[in-house]
Amino acid sequence: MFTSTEQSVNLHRPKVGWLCTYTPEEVIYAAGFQPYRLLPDENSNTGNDRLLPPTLCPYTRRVAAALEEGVYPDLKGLVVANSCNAMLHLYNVLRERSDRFVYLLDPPRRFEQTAVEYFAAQIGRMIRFFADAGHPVTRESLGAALALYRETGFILERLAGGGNGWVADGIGTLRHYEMALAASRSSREAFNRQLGASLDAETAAPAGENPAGPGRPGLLLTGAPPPAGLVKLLAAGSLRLPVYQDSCIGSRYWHSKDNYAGLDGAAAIDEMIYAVALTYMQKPPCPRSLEYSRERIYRGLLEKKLLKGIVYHDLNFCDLSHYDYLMLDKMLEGSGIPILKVRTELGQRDLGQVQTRVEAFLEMIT
Amino acid sequence: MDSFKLFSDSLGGNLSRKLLSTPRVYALAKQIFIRLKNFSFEASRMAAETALEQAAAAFRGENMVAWTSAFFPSEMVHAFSLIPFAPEGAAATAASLGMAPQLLRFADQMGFSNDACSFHRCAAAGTAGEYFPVPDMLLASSHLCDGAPQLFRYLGRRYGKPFYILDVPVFPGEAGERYLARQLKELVLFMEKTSGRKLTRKAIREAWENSNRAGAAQLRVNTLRRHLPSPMSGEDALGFVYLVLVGKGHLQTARIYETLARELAERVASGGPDPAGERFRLLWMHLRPYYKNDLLGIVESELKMRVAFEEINDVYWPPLDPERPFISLARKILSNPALGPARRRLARVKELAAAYRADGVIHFSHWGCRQAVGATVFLKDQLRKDGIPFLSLDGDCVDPNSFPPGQARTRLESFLELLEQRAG
Repeated sequence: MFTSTEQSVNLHRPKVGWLCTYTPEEVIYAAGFQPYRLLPDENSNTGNDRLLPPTLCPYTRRVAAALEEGVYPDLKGLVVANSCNAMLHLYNVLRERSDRFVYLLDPPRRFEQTAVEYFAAQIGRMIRFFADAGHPVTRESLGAALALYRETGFILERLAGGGNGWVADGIGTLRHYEMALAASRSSREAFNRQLGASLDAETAAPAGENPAGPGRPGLLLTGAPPPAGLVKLLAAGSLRLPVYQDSCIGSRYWHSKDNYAGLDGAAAIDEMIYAVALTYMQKPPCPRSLEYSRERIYRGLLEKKLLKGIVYHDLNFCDLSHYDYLMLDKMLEGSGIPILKVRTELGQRDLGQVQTRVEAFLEMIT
Repeated sequence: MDSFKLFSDSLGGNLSRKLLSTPRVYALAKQIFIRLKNFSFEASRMAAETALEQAAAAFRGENMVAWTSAFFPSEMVHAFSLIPFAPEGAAATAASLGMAPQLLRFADQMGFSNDACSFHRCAAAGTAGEYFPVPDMLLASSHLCDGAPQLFRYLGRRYGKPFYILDVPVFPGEAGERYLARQLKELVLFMEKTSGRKLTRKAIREAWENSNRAGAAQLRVNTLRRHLPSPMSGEDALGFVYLVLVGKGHLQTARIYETLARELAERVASGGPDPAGERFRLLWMHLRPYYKNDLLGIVESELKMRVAFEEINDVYWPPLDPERPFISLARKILSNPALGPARRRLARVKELAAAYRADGVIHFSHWGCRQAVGATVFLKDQLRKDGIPFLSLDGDCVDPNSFPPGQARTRLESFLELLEQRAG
């Protein structure tokens, strides 16, 4: 249902590529663009040393290679977030080699009041950049965008039926993943329509997979953004366990937009920008966080006894996921909850190598 | 004489924290590393002695110890009269003592990925092996390096000690300065609570003025180093990295750079070294290997490519204002040319290459450093456009097994040929 993303792209809006979930799509949309997330598929090229060195994260290398190969010919521009060293270097390369605009956004790694203010200033800076490029963001366009993105949350909430705050409940592992991909690349109006229609068509997960029902112990898929093949492996092998997806194509993407409530009327644009900054600073954090928020997520799952096992996707050459894994592994000591670390470079070949281990792990916990 | 081997052998290869806490070890280290060693400069001897004394004080528990990451503003530590300890620097020392392979193996067993930075893996293994003084607090900053703040959090949890991590934004300007300055104020509260000490205006003024005094002396040093032929080797200049890591804000750092400026002025006045030893001049980027090796000897003495200046010794920041301590410290941190888009670093490299009349640039590319190595393709492409030869020399600062010396020599010889061809 949600796999045909290209068909639902708004053809009237020029596409702007983005990568990190700290990028506020709403603002790109309000500037008149169609936000389009760049996520390399497993058959993509890992790139070569002419663009980025082989000791950098494969996500950035694959995106750089794909852009060079012309995989995304119709992008008007790119917004790269300074999420980590590798993303910053991707920006450096694209900035020099691309004939499109390439904008660097600097999201903080802390989330308190001063960080929100800093991020609001950065979003304001991005809006000025868009305006200078002939794509102004107005109070009306931003208000409309916030309402549109907030609506997605309403529909999802109804579809998921509340639960633990994890979209996985009631939706199904693979569908959840595909929805995130579709939402991050499609016209949001079209996506919301599709999502709303699915409420009427089927409220339960596909037969045999991850039944609805909040609070059921399940499998946690966490760490760096997983390749689709890994999600498919888990969906196929986890039988009737829900899979909680704590990733940038999971809960870190589907975060609450409740801060936008009441802002689509007469609110000042600065107030809207602040709400956007606050929303993104409050979303489930990724391993780049410098605060205790990752520990709180894991601890919450452990305390609620929601975990039967954990699959950790540790991206090669990603320092952030690496330390996050070490922390989680330490937290699990004495818990009896098994964890499987899966290292990949996001390629098909990696999945062939990990398939047996994943299957054995799933057999053990189900 | 291999000083490090002599030291290690004298202790029977046993470098535990308990042993390193004893006065006997420091008397021995002082004898071997300070008195018996031939330093090219008195300032180098002073720097080595300062590092040794601070390490001794930390191991003996004479004062509270603050562990700091490589780019953390050490002015804060000295304003609180704490002893700074840089675990990344300790990893370099461990490498020079020949301990790195053993520590890296231990890091593997601890679950560390072997694609993580070897400075950090060694530091983590050093804590587990109880080689280092126990911290009272851990202080890190996020700029330039993704791994360091995460390592400090990891180590803080391991020791059960409080840690504070500065989130450094990438863009200079009012919003970034305000964000960082507020964190620095919060850091003061954290350090006051953790140390039980109150930070006074007088202490801030002293540390800030010490930092400015050192910076001014370092600028004099750097100006003198523009002289042809270069009055100081890269081998000597890279030896001041300890002061770069933890020295800012300490009075002794100012005295060391003032001594070095005086010595260089005398050397320049006397005509300097033999010009025949300097066929070409280089700008050196990033660090160097710290285990036993002769990389810089090959570059400078054998191939006669003199390292005229190093990126790590650059004074890029404006003086601190003791009347506006936090904003000015934030401004200093944000002025780092390696922060943010690589165009800033590139612009500074071009300025330095011109100022020091460098014929080429060598970047020692420490394998696990995403920040430094990630920019090498970009730097090479851009410098080539300006006709500046650039060599990215792959290796590892800490792990001797990741540095093939034969391959490095071949690449250096090819680079020399390139410079010769360009010179006609």
